[in-house]
Amino acid sequence: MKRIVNITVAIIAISVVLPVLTGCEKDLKFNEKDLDRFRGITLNALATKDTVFTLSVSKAKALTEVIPTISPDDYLMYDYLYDSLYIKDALLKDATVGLTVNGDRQYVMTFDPKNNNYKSDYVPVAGDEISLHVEAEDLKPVVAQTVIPTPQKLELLGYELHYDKDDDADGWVDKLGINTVAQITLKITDTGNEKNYYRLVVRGFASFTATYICNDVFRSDDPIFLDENITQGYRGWSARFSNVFDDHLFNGKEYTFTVLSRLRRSNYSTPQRGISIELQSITPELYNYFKSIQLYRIAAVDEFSEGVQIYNNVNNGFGIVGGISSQGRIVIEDFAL
Amino acid sequence: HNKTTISELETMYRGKLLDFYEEENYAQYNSGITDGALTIDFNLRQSDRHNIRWGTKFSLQELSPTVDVYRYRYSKNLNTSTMEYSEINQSVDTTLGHNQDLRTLSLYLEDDWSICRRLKADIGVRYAFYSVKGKTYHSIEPRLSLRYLLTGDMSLKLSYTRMSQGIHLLSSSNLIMPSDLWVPATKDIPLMKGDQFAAGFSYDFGRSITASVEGYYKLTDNTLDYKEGSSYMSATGDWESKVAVGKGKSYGVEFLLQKKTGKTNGWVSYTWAKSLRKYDKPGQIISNGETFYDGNDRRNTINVYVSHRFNEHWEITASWSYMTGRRGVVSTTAMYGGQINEYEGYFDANDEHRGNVILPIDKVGAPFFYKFGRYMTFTERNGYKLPDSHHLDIGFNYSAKIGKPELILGLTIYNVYNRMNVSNVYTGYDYTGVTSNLKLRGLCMFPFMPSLNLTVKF
Repeated sequence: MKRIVNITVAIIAISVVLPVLTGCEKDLKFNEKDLDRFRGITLNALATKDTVFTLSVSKAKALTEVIPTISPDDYLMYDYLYDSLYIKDALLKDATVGLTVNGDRQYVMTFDPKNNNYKSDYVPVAGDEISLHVEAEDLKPVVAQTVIPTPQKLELLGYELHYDKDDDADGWVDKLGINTVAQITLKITDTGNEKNYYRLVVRGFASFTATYICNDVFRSDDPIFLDENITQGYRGWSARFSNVFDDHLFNGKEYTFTVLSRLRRSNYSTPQRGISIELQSITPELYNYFKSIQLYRIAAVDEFSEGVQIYNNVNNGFGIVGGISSQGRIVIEDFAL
Repeated sequence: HNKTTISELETMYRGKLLDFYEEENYAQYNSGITDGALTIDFNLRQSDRHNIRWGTKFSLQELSPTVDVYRYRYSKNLNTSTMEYSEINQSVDTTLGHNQDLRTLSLYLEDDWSICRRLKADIGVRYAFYSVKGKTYHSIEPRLSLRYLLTGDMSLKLSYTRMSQGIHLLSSSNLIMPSDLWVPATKDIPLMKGDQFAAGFSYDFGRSITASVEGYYKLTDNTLDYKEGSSYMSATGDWESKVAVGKGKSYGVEFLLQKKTGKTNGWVSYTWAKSLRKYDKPGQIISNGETFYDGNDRRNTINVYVSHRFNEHWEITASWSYMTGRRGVVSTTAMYGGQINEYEGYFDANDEHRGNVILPIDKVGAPFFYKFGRYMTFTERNGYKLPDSHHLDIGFNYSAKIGKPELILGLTIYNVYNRMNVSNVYTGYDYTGVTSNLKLRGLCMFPFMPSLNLTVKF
């Protein structure tokens, strides 16, 4: 009996200790087929009506091929190190870029080292069909198309200023606001029966030591901005709110709505302060891209989240080639504050 | 449950702590089912050629798909003018979801019909009524199977079945923190319905060995998957607000060689299968509306099982299984560019890289990609496949009769050769002291594992 008890105790001990000792963590490698799938040419272009067309061409890499950093936090510096090692590594400066407009007009695009992008003398107009064919290094050639949308009309119906204590800072950017909010009433005229897609930019600005403090964060309770997928706020932007929307609530009609924009702080005694408003008509692909980016920015820092695939309309590659049109900006300037 | 400490950052200013940030997240997934059922079966008519049966079943299931969420954030910032600290301390401790009832009443009618000596048919229909809070569902499900004896040893089978199910398995595609929840149909989440077609062939080698092959093709409506970016860490909304409803398609072929009698028996099976999903309805789009692999898509599965009884007391069993790794999402691609100029709070008029858009003022708001942001993305939902897994398990059983009851004492060793099968992955940095490399790492959760069990048969 004693022997059976000893054997049982030994087995229980092995059962507890062995899994702990033999549990593991190991590096995983991608095979060549997967690496080919994960790599590719990335195109980024916003073909904007009446603006010279530019295109950025870079290299998407497999996760394990990303160049080493000095410390994990260095990746945060991507935004600030324009000429950094990382950008040099990602940029494709010797790509062959073919730009065709409306099926017959060919344009030459050359690399502009000052802005790290490819430039042409082509200026898009509404209705233009743009087609890109890009080859670089030994990566798969990519193609992408877009059509410049027709701009839709936005009118300023009026605005009021309200006192609103500046304690709603979801993020550091909003700290640069003052205790005054502009309530702005706007009207969209959506023409045609086809589905239209929009991005509304409401940018508050104020002069600040030879620069401008700017902020694009705005708010609204209007249902056109409701987006249930955005479950958390981001740097001052509200949860369930997106400035990228479609016309399903006002297709082919006029629609009046209100937005709130906090005024910006200035360090001048007579500040140049205002709000710039622009309604951008965007292509469906660009709408999908912006939606995926807005979701990505809250999901990327949440390990429990389902992954977000950045929307892509580049065949055989990555990135977005989208079209934007607007009828110009409405600027409300010099608030008496 | 899953737990992670996301970050802990601190920076110093003139010998004082400038800011400190700490965040901790924790989630526990609860997926209980309490089930009660009453079944009644009747033989309606029995003759040489027909065996007609009918019956009914009533079941009540209470599901508890809930997630306990705990989120803690603490930050401390030094005001460099006053040299005083401000602190923000936020915590959320909540349970998302609630218990949900599913009542099911079903009736079936079935006829085992011997059409002739070689041909036999099983024809039936099932009616199912489902009741959930605020809605009822109905489903009529015909089924037909035919068996034709080619010879005394060989037979062919064909079948069609329509089926419905009031419970869905909701699986996360996140391979860092995988989770499964059993969830019911609800007012807004419809029943899962499927149509399956199958064809098979079997051959008996003598009395004890059977070989069979069967192919199937199944179409499924109203499958469930989490929407992109959904997370319980938002601490709002239950599982229903985080899912998309779509379609599935699966097909495959199964081979089986089986020995049923004798001191040594067992089987060898091989399955080749493919399982796909598509979510393309407005508001329910996943992976750009394109078809993608189901998380449980496993191309190859091999199972070998052998048991040998030495005498009335001792028996040894061995099983080996091999499976293609399951699928999920890993952000396998680093792409550059495409950052939108929407969140910058500070413009430098002399900064050409930002487009120098500040002057004149009416240019503020120009749309352009002005920075080389880096995004981690992937090519499709469930586009990453975990490494294939295999393991050998061995069991020793000792049986003895003590009076009337029979006692069976068993020792089972799982994963005898301690294969490091990866069950979770995550991306991390390999810090060498000078540089950090991004790495994909796998965690092996089920190594060599012995266990003891005791069974008493009365």
